[in-house]
Amino acid sequence: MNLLIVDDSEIIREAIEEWVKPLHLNVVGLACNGREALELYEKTLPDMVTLDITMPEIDGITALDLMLKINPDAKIIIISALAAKEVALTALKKGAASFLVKPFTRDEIEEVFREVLEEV
Amino acid sequence: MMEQEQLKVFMDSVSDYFIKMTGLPIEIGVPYLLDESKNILQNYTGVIGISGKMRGAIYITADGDLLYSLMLKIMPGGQRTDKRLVGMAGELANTIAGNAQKTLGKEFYISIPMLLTSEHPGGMNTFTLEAPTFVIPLRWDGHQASLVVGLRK
Repeated sequence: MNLLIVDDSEIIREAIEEWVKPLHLNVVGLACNGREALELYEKTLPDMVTLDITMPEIDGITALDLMLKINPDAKIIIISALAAKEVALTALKKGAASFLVKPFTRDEIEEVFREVLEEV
Repeated sequence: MMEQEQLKVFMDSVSDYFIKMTGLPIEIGVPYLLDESKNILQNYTGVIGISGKMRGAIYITADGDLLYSLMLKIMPGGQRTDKRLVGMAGELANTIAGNAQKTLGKEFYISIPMLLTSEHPGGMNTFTLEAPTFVIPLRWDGHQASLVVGLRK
């Protein structure tokens, strides 16, 4: 399974990359904004994406829409500090596979990934 | 004007962050009004602009040792660089502001973080801290930091 990691925080990108290592996913790219994420997404067509919402250039919700238009089967996990219930509901209604609120622990991210991987 | 309950939302948010990510509680001091004639900025600062039902800004300012200790909890063995330390300040400010949305509502919009260092302090004026601006003193793992909140409805 190929994974694209998208977050404007370098520390979060590196933490996710490190923390999902036990799941033996193939990280195909790291993107720091929505535009770079879409470019990498079209180029690599990943099976899974972790996607932040508050990002420069193109926000995560817009990127989610565009990614699912390119590949409706991609599993996109939103990882955001935005904690309003309505934000998570919007993302899930648009087709996100899961929604994880920051801050998150290693155990939490592994659990979310395992749940999504079970659906594949 | 900012109400006391709203200030508490941010204090709870910062407290929850440190407990969850480090297992160590953060000491939160008594908030006081910012005296603009005094510079409270430390070496690394992450600023978040707020819009929607409230407007203004919040920021976290801290020294490198605090941010490096925090970073090591997330990335054990991670190399200490200015870029990572200021990034940690930005991520902390982003998470504290974003988590506050749970109580303050979805129309509490947050910007992407603006990152400032003591060597590159420009950009603080990009966002307006609304008066009254409160400084919340923080102490964690032997290091001082401040959470600054300047918002109005």
